[in-house]
This record gives sequence, C-alpha cells and structure tokens, in this order.
Amino acid sequence: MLIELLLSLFMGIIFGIITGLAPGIHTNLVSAILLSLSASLVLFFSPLTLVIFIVTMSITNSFLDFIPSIYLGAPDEDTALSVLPGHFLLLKGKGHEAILLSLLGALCGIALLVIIIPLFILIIPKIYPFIERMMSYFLVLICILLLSRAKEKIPALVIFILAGFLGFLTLSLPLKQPLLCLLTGLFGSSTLIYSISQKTEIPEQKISPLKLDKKIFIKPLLASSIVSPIVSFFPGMGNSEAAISGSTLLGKLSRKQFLILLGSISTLTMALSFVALYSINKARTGSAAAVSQLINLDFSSLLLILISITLVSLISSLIAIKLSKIFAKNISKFNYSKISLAVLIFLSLIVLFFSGFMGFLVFISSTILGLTCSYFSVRKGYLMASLLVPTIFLYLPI
Amino acid sequence: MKNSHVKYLFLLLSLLSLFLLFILSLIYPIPKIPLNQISEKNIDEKILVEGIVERAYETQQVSYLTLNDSNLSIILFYPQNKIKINSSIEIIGKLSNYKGKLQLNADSIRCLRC
Repeated sequence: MLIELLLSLFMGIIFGIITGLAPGIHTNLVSAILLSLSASLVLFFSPLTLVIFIVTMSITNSFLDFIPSIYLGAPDEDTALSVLPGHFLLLKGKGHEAILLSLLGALCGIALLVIIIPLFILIIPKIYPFIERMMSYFLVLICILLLSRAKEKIPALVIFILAGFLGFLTLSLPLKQPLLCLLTGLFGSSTLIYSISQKTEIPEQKISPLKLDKKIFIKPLLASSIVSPIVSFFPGMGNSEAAISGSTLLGKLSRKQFLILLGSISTLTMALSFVALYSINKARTGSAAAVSQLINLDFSSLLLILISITLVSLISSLIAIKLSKIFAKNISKFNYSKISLAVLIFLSLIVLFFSGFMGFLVFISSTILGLTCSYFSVRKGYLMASLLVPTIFLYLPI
Repeated sequence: MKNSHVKYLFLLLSLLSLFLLFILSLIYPIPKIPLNQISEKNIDEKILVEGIVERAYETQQVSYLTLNDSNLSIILFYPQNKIKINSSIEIIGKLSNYKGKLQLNADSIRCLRC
C-alpha cells in the first residue's frame, strides 16, 4: 500500500508538472480521463491511490501554473489575473521574482491551512446558508466597489458590461469547456497579441533572492484567509474572483502583494475544496468532484490528503523554482514575439480541439474584447465580469 | 493608425463580434431534450430540460429535484426556495454520471409556472 501511494504521489507530481506547464491543459481534463478509466484502474489500484494521484496532480499544477502565466502570458482560469502584475515584473527583468512571490504566497496558503481548517469545519456549515442566500448581493457590492475604484470610469464600465454580456452569451451556447475559450481569449491570446503588436522585448531576467519586508504579507494573507474559505464552497467563484474580492475588501494592494494573494488563494482554495467535500459534502473544484466520485471521504482519508498536500507543496515549490530559473535564464535569448506567436497557435489549437468551431468563435470574440481593454488602458480585472455577472444572476432568487 | 483610432476600432469589433455571438446563440440554442430521451450518450453535454417538479428536497448545501417520473436527478448548488412540488420549470445544465446514475448539474433554472 505504501509503495502504491508513493507511486501515485510521484505520478501525480509528473502529471501536475505537465498540466501546469502546458498552456490550456487543465487538471480537470486529466481527472475526467482518469474517472472514465476508473472502472479498469480500480482492478489494479485502490480508489485511495487514485485519489492521492488527483490531489497531488492538482496541488503540483497550482504551483507550476504560474510559470506559463507569467513568462508566456498564457494563463488558465485560476491564474488569469497573475498575468498582469507578473507580466509587468517580467518586462522589468523580474519574472523570477514574480514567480517567487506567487510561490511564497502559495506556501503561506498551505501554512494558513493549519489555522483555517478547524475554523472551517466548525463555523462554515453554520454560516453557509446565510452567505449563500446573500451571495448575489455580495457580488453586486463587489462589482460596485470595483467600478468605483476605476481611474477611467466610463471605459471601465463599458468593458465591464461587454464582458458580462460575453459571459452570458458564452454560457448560453452549447459548448464543451466554455471557460477555456472565454478566459484564454480574454486573458491569454489578447495579452500575447498585444505583446506582439507592441514588439515587446523581454529584458535579461535577474535571478536574485527575494528581499521583502514582512509587513508586505499582512494584507494579502489576511485577505486570502477571509476570502478563500468563503469561495471554497461556491461553484462559479474562481480564484481570480476571490483575488478581486480580497483586494477590494482590504484596499489597494501593490503588484507584489497581489501576486502573494493570488498564490495563497490558489493553493488554499484547492486544499480547502477537499475539506469542504468532507465537512459540507460540496465539491467546488473539478478535482474535489473527481475525488467525490471515487471514495466517500472520511476523516482518515482527509488526513492522508492533507499530509500529501503539505509534502507535495514543498516538493512542487522546489521544482517550480528550478524551472523558473531555467525560463528566466533563457527567455531573453529567444525572440519573444516568435514565442508568443507559437503559444498563440498552440492555444488556438487547444481551443479548437476541446471547444470546437463555435468555441473558437467565442475565443476570437473574447480576444477582441481583451485587446479593446488593453487599448483603452483599462485594468484587465474588469474582464472578470464575464464570470461575475452570470454568477450574480445564478444566485438571484428566481 | 493613431492609438485612439485603434481603440475605437477594437470597440466596434467587440460590439460586432458580440452581436454575431448573440445571433449564433439564437441559431444554436442549447438542445432541449425530452426527459424520456435523456441517456448516457448525453453525458458531459449541456442540455435543457423541461418538466413538472415531482419531488423537491433541500439540504443546507444543495437542492435536489425530480421531474415527472424521470430517473434523472437534478442537483442545484444554490438555494431555490420558490420551487415547490407541481411547479413547471426549465433547467439548463451539464449532464453527468454520479455513482452510476444520471445527474443534471443545473447552471440555471427558470420557473415557467410556480
């Protein structure tokens, strides 16, 4: 059994690296394939082994995901907003620093688990019905706060409305993987095309250890501790929305603080999704949903999952640092426009393959809107209205 | 071309592409499938079903519905207090296989007659 678990841990890390580094390939896809094969796989492996594989892959993915987001501008749903501050630091020669900040945030998120889990298990089931009923109003409040903080209010409002409308249209089409084409267009391909059009050149990247004032952590970790448990049981609320909520809640965050916030939220929500599955029987992430279909999660299995998460977080962060150094050393040697073009073609093929021709049309539409946002110099965070607005309507009482 | 011209050009393109998507959503709506024709071949598809609520059961976390004699279990991850037995409703959601049974994970629900 121990060898089987170690093997699943190892394989989970390998697949997590692949899904993390390859733009557009999500852990949910591997989990879905694994589930479709589970009837045959359980003949050779115990369901718990498959569960550990899924958990390990998801956590490794959440650590490695930042590398393509920051170096290539090719994010997925959960790291969409990291492109913006990450890309800014990359253009300053501090891409590795952006990765280290995200990883540090991710590790802090794991450390926060120790404090949050007991509170989560005790308090959340009690306050959950109230928060859920008030959810749409909370989200409306977040939208108002977001728009009131915009420097250029009219363009921000126009982008916000168009993104909301795009979100509605995307979700009303019979698409497979609708979020893939929507978010890849809004945050990935539009950033890549904008970089190509601006003839962006990546400066030589500095690899130096982080020197941070401890105070820098207070706001992002506080925001993460408040927001992550709440979003952990809301379907439709992604990490990027959580990051927006967190930064809105505690006021203006610097770019570095935002990366720490997004890092901690990404691991914390992933880890808490398994705790939520145990405590309130809700599967918020695709990985938790896959786990729920393999076993009835009891306390001892949850404990094993949490030990695996802690162990894998440490290993994944070391792997991510190594890989980031390789990217940092080599990225300025290549023609960034050509890399961007190659990634753009790859993303287009991924969208075409998984979402079909109609999904590709949504991808083009969202790319155009993403570019409009860039040309109007409006913060790309407002494009998250594509998820926020449909979520508000989802939670409104009929 | 000046940057100010480019940005308005992209705004126009955005509006045009959204309009085209809107037309597309009218031409290709989410397929409406009669309850008795839903099968495993629809798994992972986004579908629309319509029916009369036969059973409604709500926990603190989710609401479960069953429509007119169907084996399909409908799950809503948000509260819907207004849905009562005998309400006529329309649901859009993704069909999945949950522990060997067909389950529709509802994305949206519309009350036709409550």
